[in-house]
Amino acid sequence: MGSGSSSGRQEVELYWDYRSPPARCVHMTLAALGEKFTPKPVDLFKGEHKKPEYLAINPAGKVPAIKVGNFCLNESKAIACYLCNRSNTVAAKKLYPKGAQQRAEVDRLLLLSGDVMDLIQKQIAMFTVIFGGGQPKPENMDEAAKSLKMVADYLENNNWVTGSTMTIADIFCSNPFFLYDSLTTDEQQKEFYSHEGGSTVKAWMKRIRGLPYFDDVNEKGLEAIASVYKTKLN
Amino acid sequence: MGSGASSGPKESGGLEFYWDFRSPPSRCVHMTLKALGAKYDPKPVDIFKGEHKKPDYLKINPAGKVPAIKIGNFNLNESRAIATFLCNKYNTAAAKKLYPRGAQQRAEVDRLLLLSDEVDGAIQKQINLGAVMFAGGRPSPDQMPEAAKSLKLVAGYLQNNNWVAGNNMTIADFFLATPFWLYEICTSEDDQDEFFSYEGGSTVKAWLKRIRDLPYFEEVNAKGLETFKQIYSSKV
Repeated sequence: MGSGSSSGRQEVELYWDYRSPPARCVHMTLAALGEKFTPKPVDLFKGEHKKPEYLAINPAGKVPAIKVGNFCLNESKAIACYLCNRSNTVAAKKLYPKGAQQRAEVDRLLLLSGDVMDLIQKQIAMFTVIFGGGQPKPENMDEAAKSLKMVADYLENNNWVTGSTMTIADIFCSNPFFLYDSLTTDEQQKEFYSHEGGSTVKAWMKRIRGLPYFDDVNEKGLEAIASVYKTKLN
Repeated sequence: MGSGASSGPKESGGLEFYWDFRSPPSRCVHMTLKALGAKYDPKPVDIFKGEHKKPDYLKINPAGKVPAIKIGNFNLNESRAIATFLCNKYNTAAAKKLYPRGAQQRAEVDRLLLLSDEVDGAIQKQINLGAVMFAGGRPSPDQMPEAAKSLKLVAGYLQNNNWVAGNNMTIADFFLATPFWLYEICTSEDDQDEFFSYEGGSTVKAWLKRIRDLPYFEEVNAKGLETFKQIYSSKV
């Protein structure tokens, strides 16, 4: 999983399910850092996240979590920041800048990514469809599409949401849109991205999808969620 | 506005603080400024008069919410991002305790800052603050057990320590305590007795008292909480 870890530093154990969106954000961060880690898959569909051995790692019973020596950490955004903070590499300093102002720009966008996901979920309703017998709400597309302008306003004419360098903010803010694409039809996507900000966001997503580790981290997981989601709709 | 607010840009190091004294996230940032002993130029924004939606303010924060800060050309919104920025910017001993620099200690605070959403979510299940105050909603007293899950959650982090991240007060304490202040102004004393009798209640109560005892607590929070209390009780 990459060759960046320095000698003498404890290796990260990643507890995750390849389908879980926040888990894939942490996996993307590890890949972007070129950080080696020990994979500890936790199968959500088999309830492994609620078993005592896992609750000892993360009492909140969710994925992802990491363990470094005796230190356990949950909350995907906190994990991503921690992984960058503990690393002294050039990659880490670009992914999560050290300067107060630049860092604040990333921090603000990490918080915004939650709002982006909330808007997207207003239409796709992933949790209620997969776990609660609910239905998606295509009538909420205009509401969901507010997320496009929200992100496009930060992108402006830049390649990445904070400007000319990719940061963990790009990983977290793009995650909901990749989820959207996997759970909707081509026709719905055409309409969605025709909203204000859509073409800017699309170009940015293409940039992220082109990263060498993108497919490795996301392809199977997005396909698996899509497969479960679609069977629930029928 | 107390020690720390300066009369102008020069004294304040050019830090402008835009906030409404009633807004909970504004008060979290205000507490952080006080804890840092930071100087700032106070720029009150009256949300009840709609000042947060006026063009002048939207230039500062296009999201049209409070709080926000401005230093030179740099504008920042999102209360947690502002609090961490202020601590990152100041190289003082206070700042390094409020938001530790070591990766592991910092991660503990970051995780707790994110947890404040869950704590607020639980509390709101009973008090339903926004809906009651602005949208004709009602509180849900039968949801007290759900709301009380917040106590066990926070007590789990406090354990036998004085503060949620351990021996030092951090910005996480401000953000995690906020939903409990709101709970107190939206419920009767009898309700509060019952609420704090749930698991974790006495640990959380002792911690809340520790925060309420901070010298700047009243100045930052009293008027805002009292105003919300009056509006909320008039609606129910």
